[in-house]
Amino acid sequence: MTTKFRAMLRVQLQMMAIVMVGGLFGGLIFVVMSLVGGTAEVNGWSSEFIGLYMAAILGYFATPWALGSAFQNGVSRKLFLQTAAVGLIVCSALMAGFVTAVSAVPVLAGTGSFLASVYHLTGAAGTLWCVALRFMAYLAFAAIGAALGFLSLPFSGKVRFALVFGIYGLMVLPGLALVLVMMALPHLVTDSGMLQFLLALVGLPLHRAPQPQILLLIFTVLTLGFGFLAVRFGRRAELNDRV
Amino acid sequence: MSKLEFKQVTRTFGNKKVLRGVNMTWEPGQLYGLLGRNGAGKSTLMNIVNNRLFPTAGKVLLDGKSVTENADAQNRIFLMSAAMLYPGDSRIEQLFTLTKQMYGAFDDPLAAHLAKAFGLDPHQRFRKLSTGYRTIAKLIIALCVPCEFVMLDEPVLGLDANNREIFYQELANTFANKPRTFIIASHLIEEIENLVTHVFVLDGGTITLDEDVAELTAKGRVVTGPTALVHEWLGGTCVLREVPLGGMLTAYTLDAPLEKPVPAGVTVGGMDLQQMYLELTRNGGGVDDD
Repeated sequence: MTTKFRAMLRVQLQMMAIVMVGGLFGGLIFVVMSLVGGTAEVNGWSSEFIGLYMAAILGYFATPWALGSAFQNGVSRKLFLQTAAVGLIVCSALMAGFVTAVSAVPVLAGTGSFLASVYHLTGAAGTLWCVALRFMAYLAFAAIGAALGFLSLPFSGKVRFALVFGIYGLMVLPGLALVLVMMALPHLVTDSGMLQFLLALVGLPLHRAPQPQILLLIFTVLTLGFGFLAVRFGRRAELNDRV
Repeated sequence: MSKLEFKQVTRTFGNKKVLRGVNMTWEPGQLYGLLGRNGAGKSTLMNIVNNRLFPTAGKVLLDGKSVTENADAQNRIFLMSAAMLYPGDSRIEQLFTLTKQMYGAFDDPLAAHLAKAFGLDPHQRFRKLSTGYRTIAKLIIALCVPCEFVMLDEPVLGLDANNREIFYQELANTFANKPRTFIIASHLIEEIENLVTHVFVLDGGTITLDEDVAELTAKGRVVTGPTALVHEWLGGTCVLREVPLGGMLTAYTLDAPLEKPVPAGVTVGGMDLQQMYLELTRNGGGVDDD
């Protein structure tokens, strides 16, 4: 590992730490809500949501943020992208560990981990599955964010901010809506053929049979696909007002 | 010794052609002035050298190898520009450390000396500095990096006259102590005239002048006198501009026939770099749309 690599990685992690700290504050709000209002059931999936959203923002904002320091210090895009990838992997691992740990605290997550209950993941193996699923999910969201972040760098600031809400709306909200429907109407899954089809499509349990491996595969494909796109767009990134 | 060569460097933004096949060479151990009107493409050119932008066509070569995505080459090139690219929350001393880690070395004693000379507190956070002091912080870094080619794009932006004077003096000192190539893009031509040894004028997307300052100032002449006599004396030479006033004429030229006797009533004076630049770029500037 060269000195330049270490220095650039430190800059990347500094930028990502800003997002991580922001996410931690968001998480703390839910903790307070749990302690005060007893809304632990809701917070089981809230922590899942915060993790996904932070991952998307890490890719979308934090990664291109570090471009300025790269350009100022003669860092090639190749080295920049390598350090960005390492930074996102480190942050995803930290978040996966953190959310899994939080999910194990009953007062914060009610009946336990949302992911574990949906997929019937129990015991040590179940915890490992949860960590792996979260890690790959965060990496996939970060890759999508980074690809969009680099792609939208030449766009105006307003468009870039609109895209943040696009990420929020297009990537996270439908999943949350699905979760809420499943929680509110547990029999709907067995009654509705269309819902069964949709759930199967995103790897969620069909006929209540755990299929975490399908979800892991989907996240892996998303990570690789959007990771490839992020590298492609990142290699062409240039200095502009948004950097 | 290393040199930077520009081969037909072209850059377009949409349908705007900012650079149209720039050719020039930056030799080692020189103090260059890169002059051009607003929008002439000076910053674009420097950004291409520093890999912040890609050329649309053409190449910039260092020791015969393209500098684009070339980590070794980029370690030998530094660009100080107006862009705010440092993390704003970092303290100045942290930026010095970051630069040292990135480039492998940093002239700490010189940085300490310059910080004291400019009155910059290295404990200050970059974001909290005034425009002038941000420029000073960036200048200190630029003068202390171990790079062979240091580009200074508008290096005195926001600096008061005293700090500009300190900068020019310190630049001359560090250049004398450790010769490397500095390229200064500035609109304050009078201030850098005595500092730079060679100038490039970028106009209309190409290099229209590439000459040593000493030779240039020796050639530049302002010829004043009765119109007919001036025309007769300058006959056949290339005149940059003529300014008639009544029956008198002032002509600016780089090609005065000094071997011919000057007619009575005609005066021939020197032309400083600023005047010469004005005459050379009077009809240019900006970028063209295709």
